Amino acid sequence: MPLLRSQKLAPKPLDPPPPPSAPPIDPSTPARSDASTISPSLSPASSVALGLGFDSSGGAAPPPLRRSLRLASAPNSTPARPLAMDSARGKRKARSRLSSFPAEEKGGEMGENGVGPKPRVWKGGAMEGRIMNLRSGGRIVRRRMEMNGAEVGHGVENEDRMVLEASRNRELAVEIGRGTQQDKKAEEGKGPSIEEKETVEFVAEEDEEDLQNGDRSVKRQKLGRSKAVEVLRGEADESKVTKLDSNVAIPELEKGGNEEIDSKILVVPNSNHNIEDLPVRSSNSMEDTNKESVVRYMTLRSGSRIADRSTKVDHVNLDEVHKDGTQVHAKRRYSCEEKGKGRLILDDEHLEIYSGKETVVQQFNGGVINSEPNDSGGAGVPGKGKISAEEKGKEKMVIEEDWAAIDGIMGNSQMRAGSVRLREPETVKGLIEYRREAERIKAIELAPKFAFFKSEEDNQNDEEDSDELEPEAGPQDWPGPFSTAVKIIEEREARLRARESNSSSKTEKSTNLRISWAPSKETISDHFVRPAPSLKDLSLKVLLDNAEEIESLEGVPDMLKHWLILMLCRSRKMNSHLLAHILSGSPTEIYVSDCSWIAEDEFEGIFGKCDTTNLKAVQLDLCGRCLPDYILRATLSRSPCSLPSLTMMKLTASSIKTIGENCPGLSAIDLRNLNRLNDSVLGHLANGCRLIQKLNIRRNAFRFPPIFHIIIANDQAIAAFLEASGGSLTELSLNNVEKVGHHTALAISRRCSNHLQCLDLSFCRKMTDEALGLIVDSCLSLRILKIFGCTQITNVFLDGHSNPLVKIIGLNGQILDHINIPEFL
Amino acid sequence: MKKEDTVKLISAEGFEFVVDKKAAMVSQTIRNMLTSPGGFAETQLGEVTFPEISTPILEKICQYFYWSLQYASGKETEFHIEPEITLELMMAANYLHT
Repeated sequence: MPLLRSQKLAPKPLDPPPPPSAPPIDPSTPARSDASTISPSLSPASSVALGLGFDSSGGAAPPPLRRSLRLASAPNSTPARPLAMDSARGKRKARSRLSSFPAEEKGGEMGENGVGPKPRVWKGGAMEGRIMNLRSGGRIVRRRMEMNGAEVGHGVENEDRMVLEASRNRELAVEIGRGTQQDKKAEEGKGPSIEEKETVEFVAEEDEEDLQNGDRSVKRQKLGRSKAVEVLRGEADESKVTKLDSNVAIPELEKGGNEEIDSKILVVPNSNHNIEDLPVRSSNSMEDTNKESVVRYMTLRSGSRIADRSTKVDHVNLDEVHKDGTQVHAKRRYSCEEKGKGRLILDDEHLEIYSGKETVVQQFNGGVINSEPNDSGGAGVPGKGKISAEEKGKEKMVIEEDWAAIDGIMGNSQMRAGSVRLREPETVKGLIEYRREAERIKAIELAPKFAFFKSEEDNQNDEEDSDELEPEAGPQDWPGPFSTAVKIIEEREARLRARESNSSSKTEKSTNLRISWAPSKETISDHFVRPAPSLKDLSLKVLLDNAEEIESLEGVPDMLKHWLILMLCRSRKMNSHLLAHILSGSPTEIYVSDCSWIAEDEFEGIFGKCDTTNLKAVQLDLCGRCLPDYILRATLSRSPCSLPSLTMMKLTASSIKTIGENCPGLSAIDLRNLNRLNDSVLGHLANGCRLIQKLNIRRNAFRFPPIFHIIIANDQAIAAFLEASGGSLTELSLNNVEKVGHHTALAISRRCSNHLQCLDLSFCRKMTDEALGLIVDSCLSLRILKIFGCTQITNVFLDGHSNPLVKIIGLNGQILDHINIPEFL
Repeated sequence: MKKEDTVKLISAEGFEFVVDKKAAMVSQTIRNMLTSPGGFAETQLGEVTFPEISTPILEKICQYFYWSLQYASGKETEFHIEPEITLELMMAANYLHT
């Protein structure tokens, strides 16, 4: 009889401070009295289960109301108790507050209802209610409802139902447990099913199985595991129910101390097998033992689960979980493993959240457990973020967000951030209650939302692996603005949907965000009219069409010539003939944007005839074909003046040498995509071009983030180059020159300190904080420093450099802020 | 056409083209000439001389002005250019910033 349980529960500290109002939060209180009231409270239990606010106590079963409610809802079966218990457990789990579900209850009760130990008697309905809220806000609520419904139908085992409900809640918590629980809970029936649906099942199963996992499941629920819900519904395994009971017991234990734990513990190891375990657990003092029990519980579950699911319960380091902090962690791990990759984490989160404390729900990213003893918020955050990302991809995160919302102030914020901070259990209790209430409400709101997630969940599950494999970005990468934005949007949608469904006003647009904008009445016809094309363009176009007819370009100003060349090259009409025309008459600048059509001899011929006395700028893009070494030597050697800008591809070492020898005034050289650049090349450049101002060693044909390899050049060569001729360097780009290191840094700081304005050291992984600091501090003209992809740079450099003008780009992931920074060259 | 609304564009040969001010304003150069502060003759007399632009080219330019106004008001037609004058027209257009 549930009574038993509840009675046990009652003594349990589970009940947080008088649950606020009858509403869902109540469960805690009812839970207490659930024992006795369980049976009668079935009905209330059902309501409680809903957690939507129904009085936990609906009936007699006060604190365990939730749980008991379930029972009640269950088809009046006596076992209702177990159900209630389960649910309670579930709730409890989440609640963690309830945490101290007397394991004993479970153990004992389980037996009685026939379902199995239903120790779950949640601390009172509160648990359940709470769980509901906790878990997923919406989920739980829904679940409960479902469960209740299911339960009602279930004549068989009320417990199961309850379990389901509880499990739902637990799902969140349980989810974690599921992983492990699987095997445990005798959810045989569920087991398989559960396994399929990693996330959902887990939850659902959890409920059934591990009402205890309630906490866990709760968490998961939060994640919007619709699956869990589904599972729950579908599976109303009776057996599970029983298990839950046992699980419930555990959470009870947890409650004592760590709310969190409780939540975690919620993972009800439903399985009957667990029962045995449970009792053990329950015996543990809730607080401390909660953890332990939880841990154990988890282990139990995991143990069993693992077997079933073959989840990766690798890191079920429950043992190591310290009571407070670790508990959470352990849970997490557990969940991770249990669920396979992602789910576990979810549970952890839930658990933690429930605990009312701000447990840092560290999301494991597939098992990355931040077992920090004190889940001080910080830790959780990254973890969470990860988990969220991994587990559910966006969805999870959203869910968690929801949870956060649900919890409101409850430390659920963690969920959001993914970090659950653990708080002292003492205060948690009251807080928990409050939270539960809030959660419940939120859950209600979100319930419909979760309904939609099912498919997503499924997909999510499938992609769990991929999610988990997502690179765990460094601390700076969490949570990226994009994922946050996605979360927010999803949340918004969910809320909208929830609202709509709640209000049952089915309008087509319900799910669409309403964008309020109406076109202005006045007709502005002018807007539609394009500005007339300029005469220049028009004539240019005609000229192009008749390019063959051009006889001479005498008198055409250079700018127009450039334009013409550009258009010609674009339209593929360029030929040497035209080029000859263009180059005739002592041009001062030659910009040929595409020299790929020029053959070597043509080039030689053309440039041979070209009067280069006034030539100031030569830009020959894409001239790989026409500029082998000798050509370059021949042509350029005749140009007396400096070539201010030289952009080439595929230059070899000797050609560079030639340039170096012949262009003493070279002030800008852009050696992009030079695969064969090596030390001697740089040496020649350095010798010859002392006045170089812009050095761009990168590979790119589009003038955009270049990823250039200097294959052979090493640190010393570049340093030597800079030493020799870097005095007037204003822009230096060593993007992706991997070997750049300390020597270069020293050279830069010594030689380039006067004029250097833009420095690009992206992807130079050998640059350390010290090196960068030295550079920045000694180059007083430095305005822009780009260090994309330099993950080795830390705050030591960022905070420590003393150059006020420098703008550092590329470290914090907010690249969009810097998009308008002009690329040099 | 009132006198206030028109400007006179004088080509290299001395031909005078009287056009609407609005049309001439299509050219940025002419616009600046006519509206610049300071006591410039162009502003006061409303006349602009182009010693480098030959008459047929200037004629074509005036046609372009009106075509451009027409285009802006919605009527989009084709502006045909004889290939022979293209080069010079281009240079003149570049000069007039139009």
